[in-house]
Amino acid sequence: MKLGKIGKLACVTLALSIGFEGVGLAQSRRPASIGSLLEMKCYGKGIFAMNRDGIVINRRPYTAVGLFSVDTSYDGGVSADTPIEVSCDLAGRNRSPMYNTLTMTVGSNERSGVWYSQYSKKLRLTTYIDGRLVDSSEIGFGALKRFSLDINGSRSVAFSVECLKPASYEYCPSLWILEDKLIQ
Amino acid sequence: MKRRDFLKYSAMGGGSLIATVAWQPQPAEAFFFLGLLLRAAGMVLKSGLQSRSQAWWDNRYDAMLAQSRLFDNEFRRVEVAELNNRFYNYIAVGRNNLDVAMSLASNRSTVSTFTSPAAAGVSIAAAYLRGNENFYPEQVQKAILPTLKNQDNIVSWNQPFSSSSYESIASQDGVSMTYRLRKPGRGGYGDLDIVVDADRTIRIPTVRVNFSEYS
Repeated sequence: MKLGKIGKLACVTLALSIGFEGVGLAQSRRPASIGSLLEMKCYGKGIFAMNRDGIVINRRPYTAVGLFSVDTSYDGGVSADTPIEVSCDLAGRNRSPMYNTLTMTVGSNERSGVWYSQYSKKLRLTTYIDGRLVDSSEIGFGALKRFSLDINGSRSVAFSVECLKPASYEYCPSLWILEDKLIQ
Repeated sequence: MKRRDFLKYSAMGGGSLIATVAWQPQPAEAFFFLGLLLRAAGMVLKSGLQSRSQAWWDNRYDAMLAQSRLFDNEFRRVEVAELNNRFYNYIAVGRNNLDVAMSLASNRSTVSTFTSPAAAGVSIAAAYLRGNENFYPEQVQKAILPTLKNQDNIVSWNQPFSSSSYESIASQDGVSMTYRLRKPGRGGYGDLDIVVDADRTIRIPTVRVNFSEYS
Protein backbone atom coordinates (compact mmCIF):
# COMPACT_ATOMS: atom_id res chain seq x y z
CA MET A 1 0.00 0.00 0.00
CA LYS A 2 1.37 3.35 -1.00
CA LEU A 3 0.66 6.05 1.53
CA GLY A 4 1.79 9.20 -0.24
CA LYS A 5 2.70 12.46 1.45
CA ILE A 6 -0.71 13.05 3.00
CA GLY A 7 -0.84 9.51 4.33
CA LYS A 8 2.56 9.84 5.94
CA LEU A 9 1.64 13.16 7.53
CA ALA A 10 -1.59 11.64 8.83
CA CYS A 11 0.34 8.73 10.36
CA VAL A 12 2.75 11.07 12.12
CA THR A 13 -0.14 13.14 13.49
CA LEU A 14 -1.95 10.01 14.66
CA ALA A 15 1.19 8.74 16.38
CA LEU A 16 1.60 12.12 18.07
CA SER A 17 -1.97 12.16 19.32
CA ILE A 18 -1.68 8.61 20.68
CA GLY A 19 1.55 9.68 22.36
CA PHE A 20 -0.19 12.52 24.17
CA GLU A 21 -2.84 10.13 25.43
CA GLY A 22 -0.12 7.76 26.66
CA VAL A 23 1.21 10.45 28.99
CA GLY A 24 -2.17 10.68 30.67
CA LEU A 25 -2.34 6.93 31.26
CA ALA A 26 1.03 6.67 33.00
CA GLN A 27 0.63 5.59 36.62
CA SER A 28 3.28 5.92 39.27
CA ARG A 29 3.83 3.67 42.25
CA ARG A 30 2.30 5.55 45.15
CA PRO A 31 1.81 4.47 48.72
CA ALA A 32 -1.94 3.88 48.97
CA SER A 33 -2.13 5.23 52.49
CA ILE A 34 -0.93 8.74 51.58
CA GLY A 35 -2.88 11.16 49.44
CA SER A 36 -2.81 14.81 48.52
CA LEU A 37 -5.61 17.23 49.40
CA LEU A 38 -5.38 19.22 46.17
CA GLU A 39 -5.93 16.04 44.17
CA MET A 40 -9.39 15.90 45.73
CA LYS A 41 -12.17 18.11 44.38
CA CYS A 42 -11.99 21.65 45.73
CA TYR A 43 -14.70 24.24 45.19
CA GLY A 44 -14.54 28.02 45.36
CA LYS A 45 -12.14 30.51 43.87
CA GLY A 46 -8.62 31.00 45.08
CA ILE A 47 -6.96 27.60 45.60
CA PHE A 48 -4.63 26.19 42.96
CA ALA A 49 -2.52 23.04 42.69
CA MET A 50 0.97 23.70 41.48
CA ASN A 51 4.45 22.29 41.37
CA ARG A 52 6.82 25.21 41.49
CA ASP A 53 10.36 25.23 42.81
CA GLY A 54 12.17 28.20 44.24
CA ILE A 55 9.52 29.71 46.49
CA VAL A 56 11.64 31.57 49.00
CA ILE A 57 10.26 31.94 52.51
CA ASN A 58 12.51 33.35 55.20
CA ARG A 59 15.49 33.03 52.85
CA ARG A 60 14.94 29.31 52.26
CA PRO A 61 13.71 27.90 48.95
CA TYR A 62 10.79 25.47 48.96
CA THR A 63 8.64 23.70 46.41
CA ALA A 64 5.10 25.04 46.37
CA VAL A 65 2.48 22.35 45.70
CA GLY A 66 -0.42 24.76 45.93
CA LEU A 67 -1.43 28.36 46.37
CA PHE A 68 -4.13 30.43 48.03
CA SER A 69 -4.37 33.50 45.84
CA VAL A 70 -6.72 35.54 43.67
CA ASP A 71 -4.95 34.07 40.63
CA THR A 72 -1.98 31.92 39.68
CA SER A 73 0.34 34.72 38.64
CA TYR A 74 3.62 34.72 40.56
CA ASP A 75 2.09 36.59 43.46
CA GLY A 76 -1.52 37.40 42.87
CA GLY A 77 -2.11 38.10 46.55
CA VAL A 78 -5.13 37.93 48.82
CA SER A 79 -7.58 40.77 48.53
CA ALA A 80 -8.39 42.69 51.71
CA ASP A 81 -12.00 43.11 50.60
CA THR A 82 -12.75 39.50 49.77
CA PRO A 83 -11.33 36.60 51.76
CA ILE A 84 -10.56 33.43 49.85
CA GLU A 85 -13.13 30.78 50.70
CA VAL A 86 -12.63 27.23 49.45
CA SER A 87 -13.99 23.81 50.37
CA CYS A 88 -12.53 20.45 49.47
CA ASP A 89 -14.27 17.08 49.31
CA LEU A 90 -12.51 14.43 51.38
CA ALA A 91 -14.69 11.66 49.99
CA GLY A 92 -16.42 11.35 46.64
CA ARG A 93 -20.16 10.97 46.32
CA ASN A 94 -21.41 7.68 47.83
CA ARG A 95 -17.96 6.89 49.17
CA SER A 96 -16.85 6.71 52.77
CA PRO A 97 -13.96 8.96 53.84
CA MET A 98 -10.66 7.09 53.65
CA TYR A 99 -8.19 9.42 55.37
CA ASN A 100 -7.63 10.06 59.08
CA THR A 101 -5.16 12.96 59.18
CA LEU A 102 -4.49 16.02 57.08
CA THR A 103 -1.07 17.60 57.56
CA MET A 104 -0.53 20.95 55.92
CA THR A 105 2.35 23.38 55.81
CA VAL A 106 1.72 26.89 54.50
CA GLY A 107 3.79 30.03 54.35
CA SER A 108 3.92 33.46 52.90
CA ASN A 109 6.92 35.05 51.30
CA GLU A 110 7.92 38.22 53.10
CA ARG A 111 9.94 39.43 50.16
CA SER A 112 7.44 39.01 47.37
CA GLY A 113 5.98 42.42 46.81
CA VAL A 114 7.72 44.49 49.43
CA TRP A 115 4.87 46.98 49.42
CA TYR A 116 2.48 44.28 50.62
CA SER A 117 4.34 43.53 53.79
CA GLN A 118 4.92 47.19 54.55
CA TYR A 119 1.24 47.91 54.79
CA SER A 120 -0.63 44.73 55.50
CA LYS A 121 0.08 43.09 58.80
CA LYS A 122 -0.86 39.46 58.57
CA LEU A 123 -2.89 36.72 56.96
CA ARG A 124 -5.44 34.74 58.90
CA LEU A 125 -6.08 31.12 57.99
CA THR A 126 -9.29 29.64 59.37
CA THR A 127 -9.98 25.94 58.97
CA TYR A 128 -13.32 24.14 59.11
CA ILE A 129 -14.00 20.41 59.15
CA ASP A 130 -17.48 19.41 58.04
CA GLY A 131 -18.43 23.05 58.52
CA ARG A 132 -17.16 23.21 62.12
CA LEU A 133 -14.49 25.79 62.92
CA VAL A 134 -11.43 23.91 64.17
CA ASP A 135 -8.59 26.41 63.93
CA SER A 136 -8.02 30.06 63.24
CA SER A 137 -4.54 31.45 63.35
CA GLU A 138 -2.62 34.43 62.08
CA ILE A 139 0.33 33.85 59.82
CA GLY A 140 3.08 36.44 59.66
CA PHE A 141 5.02 37.00 56.47
CA GLY A 142 8.14 34.90 56.22
CA ALA A 143 6.85 32.29 58.66
CA LEU A 144 5.77 28.71 58.06
CA LYS A 145 2.79 27.17 59.74
CA ARG A 146 2.43 23.43 59.96
CA PHE A 147 -0.65 21.79 61.38
CA SER A 148 -2.26 18.37 61.55
CA LEU A 149 -6.01 17.91 61.61
CA ASP A 150 -7.93 14.86 62.68
CA ILE A 151 -10.25 14.23 59.73
CA ASN A 152 -11.30 10.71 60.66
CA GLY A 153 -14.85 10.21 59.34
CA SER A 154 -15.03 13.77 57.99
CA ARG A 155 -16.31 14.52 54.50
CA SER A 156 -14.98 18.01 53.90
CA VAL A 157 -12.36 20.54 54.90
CA ALA A 158 -12.74 24.24 54.19
CA PHE A 159 -10.35 27.18 54.41
CA SER A 160 -10.78 30.88 54.67
CA VAL A 161 -7.77 33.11 54.03
CA GLU A 162 -8.11 36.75 55.10
CA CYS A 163 -5.78 39.68 54.60
CA LEU A 164 -5.65 41.57 57.91
CA LYS A 165 -5.18 45.29 58.44
CA PRO A 166 -4.00 46.55 55.11
CA ALA A 167 -3.48 50.23 55.93
CA SER A 168 -3.21 51.63 52.47
CA TYR A 169 -2.79 48.72 50.11
CA GLU A 170 -5.57 46.36 49.30
CA TYR A 171 -3.72 43.04 48.98
CA CYS A 172 -1.71 40.68 51.16
CA PRO A 173 0.90 38.32 49.67
CA SER A 174 -0.37 34.93 48.53
CA LEU A 175 -0.26 31.96 50.88
CA TRP A 176 1.81 29.12 49.45
CA ILE A 177 0.94 25.51 50.24
CA LEU A 178 4.10 23.47 50.79
CA GLU A 179 2.48 20.27 52.03
CA ASP A 180 -1.07 18.88 51.73
CA LYS A 181 -0.62 15.32 52.96
CA LEU A 182 -3.58 13.07 53.67
CA ILE A 183 -2.79 10.00 55.76
CA GLN A 184 -4.99 6.94 56.24
CA MET B 1 14.16 46.37 -8.55
CA LYS B 2 17.61 45.53 -7.31
CA ARG B 3 19.21 42.29 -8.44
CA ARG B 4 19.29 40.92 -4.89
CA ASP B 5 15.54 41.61 -4.36
CA PHE B 6 14.72 40.06 -7.75
CA LEU B 7 16.54 36.87 -6.79
CA LYS B 8 14.77 36.77 -3.39
CA TYR B 9 11.24 37.23 -4.75
CA SER B 10 11.73 34.87 -7.67
CA ALA B 11 12.98 32.17 -5.28
CA MET B 12 9.92 32.66 -3.04
CA GLY B 13 7.56 32.51 -6.01
CA GLY B 14 9.22 29.41 -7.39
CA GLY B 15 9.08 27.69 -4.03
CA SER B 16 5.39 28.36 -3.55
CA LEU B 17 4.62 27.15 -7.10
CA ILE B 18 6.44 23.86 -6.45
CA ALA B 19 4.63 23.45 -3.13
CA THR B 20 1.24 24.00 -4.78
CA VAL B 21 1.94 21.52 -7.58
CA ALA B 22 3.40 18.87 -5.26
CA TRP B 23 0.74 19.05 -2.52
CA GLN B 24 -2.83 18.87 -3.76
CA PRO B 25 -4.82 16.98 -1.15
CA GLN B 26 -8.05 15.32 -2.17
CA PRO B 27 -11.07 16.66 -0.22
CA ALA B 28 -11.58 13.42 1.74
CA GLU B 29 -7.89 13.18 2.70
CA ALA B 30 -7.83 16.83 3.63
CA PHE B 31 -10.75 16.46 6.04
CA PHE B 32 -9.19 13.37 7.60
CA PHE B 33 -5.88 15.16 8.02
CA LEU B 34 -7.55 18.29 9.40
CA GLY B 35 -9.50 16.16 11.89
CA LEU B 36 -6.36 14.50 13.22
CA LEU B 37 -4.54 17.80 13.43
CA LEU B 38 -7.37 19.37 15.43
CA ARG B 39 -7.49 16.32 17.70
CA ALA B 40 -3.76 16.52 18.44
CA ALA B 41 -3.97 20.28 19.02
CA GLY B 42 -6.94 19.75 21.34
CA MET B 43 -5.00 17.26 23.41
CA VAL B 44 -2.02 19.55 23.75
CA LEU B 45 -4.34 22.35 24.86
CA LYS B 46 -6.23 20.05 27.22
CA SER B 47 -3.11 18.71 28.90
CA GLY B 48 -1.46 22.11 29.07
CA LEU B 49 -4.33 24.33 30.09
CA GLN B 50 -7.30 22.48 31.53
CA SER B 51 -6.28 19.23 33.15
CA ARG B 52 -2.67 18.37 33.83
CA SER B 53 -1.11 15.07 32.85
CA GLN B 54 -0.79 12.20 35.32
CA ALA B 55 2.99 12.62 35.11
CA TRP B 56 2.64 16.23 36.34
CA TRP B 57 0.50 15.15 39.30
CA ASP B 58 2.89 12.31 40.14
CA ASN B 59 5.83 14.67 40.02
CA ARG B 60 4.03 17.12 42.31
CA TYR B 61 3.06 14.30 44.69
CA ASP B 62 6.67 13.09 44.93
CA ALA B 63 7.89 16.65 45.58
CA MET B 64 5.25 17.08 48.29
CA LEU B 65 6.23 13.82 50.04
CA ALA B 66 9.94 14.64 49.92
CA GLN B 67 9.29 18.08 51.40
CA SER B 68 6.94 16.58 53.97
CA ARG B 69 9.74 14.35 55.25
CA LEU B 70 11.96 17.40 55.69
CA PHE B 71 9.21 19.13 57.64
CA ASP B 72 8.75 15.98 59.74
CA ASN B 73 12.34 16.34 60.88
CA GLU B 74 12.33 20.09 61.35
CA PHE B 75 8.99 20.48 63.00
CA ARG B 76 9.54 17.65 65.42
CA ARG B 77 11.45 20.00 67.65
CA VAL B 78 8.73 22.63 67.38
CA GLU B 79 6.00 20.10 68.06
CA VAL B 80 7.62 19.01 71.27
CA ALA B 81 7.58 22.61 72.35
CA GLU B 82 3.94 23.01 71.33
CA LEU B 83 2.45 19.98 72.98
CA ASN B 84 -0.43 21.98 74.38
CA ASN B 85 -1.60 22.78 70.89
CA ARG B 86 -4.04 20.04 70.01
CA PHE B 87 -3.16 20.24 66.33
CA TYR B 88 0.45 19.20 66.89
CA ASN B 89 -0.17 15.61 67.78
CA TYR B 90 2.87 13.92 66.29
CA ILE B 91 4.76 13.95 69.49
CA ALA B 92 2.06 14.11 72.08
CA VAL B 93 2.09 12.61 75.49
CA GLY B 94 -1.65 12.11 75.12
CA ARG B 95 -1.24 9.84 72.14
CA ASN B 96 2.20 8.59 73.14
CA ASN B 97 3.42 8.66 69.59
CA LEU B 98 6.68 9.84 68.16
CA ASP B 99 7.43 9.53 64.47
CA VAL B 100 11.01 8.88 63.51
CA ALA B 101 12.42 9.11 60.01
CA MET B 102 14.11 5.82 59.28
CA SER B 103 16.17 4.69 56.36
CA LEU B 104 17.19 1.15 55.42
CA ALA B 105 20.74 0.76 54.16
CA SER B 106 21.90 -2.67 52.97
CA ASN B 107 19.22 -4.48 55.00
CA ARG B 108 20.48 -3.00 58.22
CA SER B 109 18.21 -0.44 59.79
CA THR B 110 19.64 2.89 60.72
CA VAL B 111 17.60 5.66 62.18
CA SER B 112 18.30 9.11 60.91
CA THR B 113 16.75 11.85 62.93
CA PHE B 114 17.68 15.09 64.57
CA THR B 115 16.22 13.84 67.80
CA SER B 116 17.93 11.28 70.00
CA PRO B 117 15.82 9.31 72.50
CA ALA B 118 17.40 11.32 75.30
CA ALA B 119 16.57 14.66 73.67
CA ALA B 120 13.06 13.53 72.82
CA GLY B 121 12.64 12.11 76.31
CA VAL B 122 13.77 15.33 77.97
CA SER B 123 11.43 17.41 75.80
CA ILE B 124 8.49 15.09 76.43
CA ALA B 125 9.22 15.02 80.13
CA ALA B 126 9.36 18.83 80.22
CA ALA B 127 6.04 19.17 78.42
CA TYR B 128 4.44 16.50 80.58
CA LEU B 129 5.52 18.07 83.85
CA ARG B 130 4.33 21.46 82.69
CA GLY B 131 1.04 20.24 81.24
CA ASN B 132 0.01 17.43 83.58
CA GLU B 133 1.79 18.10 86.85
CA ASN B 134 1.50 21.90 86.86
CA PHE B 135 5.23 22.42 87.36
CA TYR B 136 6.59 25.92 87.01
CA PRO B 137 9.27 26.31 84.31
CA GLU B 138 11.91 26.62 87.00
CA GLN B 139 10.78 23.38 88.64
CA VAL B 140 10.77 21.66 85.23
CA GLN B 141 14.29 22.84 84.63
CA LYS B 142 15.49 21.57 87.97
CA ALA B 143 13.71 18.25 87.54
CA ILE B 144 14.98 17.31 84.12
CA LEU B 145 18.20 19.14 83.29
CA PRO B 146 21.21 16.87 83.79
CA THR B 147 24.17 17.92 85.88
CA LEU B 148 27.39 18.46 83.95
CA LYS B 149 29.04 15.14 84.72
CA ASN B 150 26.21 13.15 83.11
CA GLN B 151 26.11 14.75 79.70
CA ASP B 152 27.90 11.99 77.81
CA ASN B 153 25.46 9.34 78.90
CA ILE B 154 23.00 9.17 76.02
CA VAL B 155 20.34 6.66 75.07
CA SER B 156 20.60 5.60 71.44
CA TRP B 157 18.04 4.60 68.81
CA ASN B 158 20.53 2.17 67.30
CA GLN B 159 20.59 -0.25 70.22
CA PRO B 160 17.71 -2.73 70.65
CA PHE B 161 17.74 -1.87 74.34
CA SER B 162 19.35 1.03 76.04
CA SER B 163 18.80 2.52 79.41
CA SER B 164 20.24 5.54 81.09
CA SER B 165 19.66 7.67 84.11
CA TYR B 166 21.18 10.91 85.21
CA GLU B 167 21.24 13.14 88.21
CA SER B 168 19.22 16.30 87.89
CA ILE B 169 19.52 19.57 89.74
CA ALA B 170 16.48 18.68 91.83
CA SER B 171 17.26 15.06 92.67
CA GLN B 172 20.02 12.48 92.75
CA ASP B 173 17.73 9.94 91.17
CA GLY B 174 17.01 12.51 88.48
CA VAL B 175 15.66 11.17 85.23
CA SER B 176 15.83 7.65 83.93
CA MET B 177 15.04 6.64 80.38
CA THR B 178 14.69 3.26 78.78
CA TYR B 179 14.35 2.68 75.10
CA ARG B 180 13.30 -0.73 73.81
CA LEU B 181 13.17 -1.61 70.14
CA ARG B 182 9.97 -3.67 69.74
CA LYS B 183 9.64 -4.17 66.00
CA PRO B 184 12.68 -3.26 63.92
CA GLY B 185 12.67 -1.95 60.35
CA ARG B 186 10.30 0.15 58.32
CA GLY B 187 6.89 0.55 59.85
CA GLY B 188 8.24 -0.85 63.12
CA TYR B 189 8.26 0.75 66.51
CA GLY B 190 9.97 1.04 69.86
CA ASP B 191 8.96 2.18 73.34
CA LEU B 192 10.49 4.98 75.37
CA ASP B 193 9.88 4.99 79.12
CA ILE B 194 10.74 8.04 81.17
CA VAL B 195 10.69 8.33 84.93
CA VAL B 196 11.36 11.69 86.58
CA ASP B 197 12.19 11.99 90.23
CA ALA B 198 11.54 15.50 91.51
CA ASP B 199 9.68 16.02 94.79
CA ARG B 200 8.13 12.64 94.03
CA THR B 201 8.48 9.96 91.36
CA ILE B 202 6.60 10.76 88.18
CA ARG B 203 6.23 7.99 85.65
CA ILE B 204 5.47 9.40 82.23
CA PRO B 205 3.20 7.16 80.12
CA THR B 206 5.18 5.08 77.63
CA VAL B 207 5.92 6.89 74.40
CA ARG B 208 5.49 4.68 71.35
CA VAL B 209 8.13 5.54 68.73
CA ASN B 210 6.81 4.77 65.26
CA PHE B 211 9.31 4.35 62.47
CA SER B 212 8.41 5.86 59.16
CA GLU B 213 7.30 3.38 56.50
CA TYR B 214 9.00 5.39 53.79
CA SER B 215 12.57 6.46 53.63
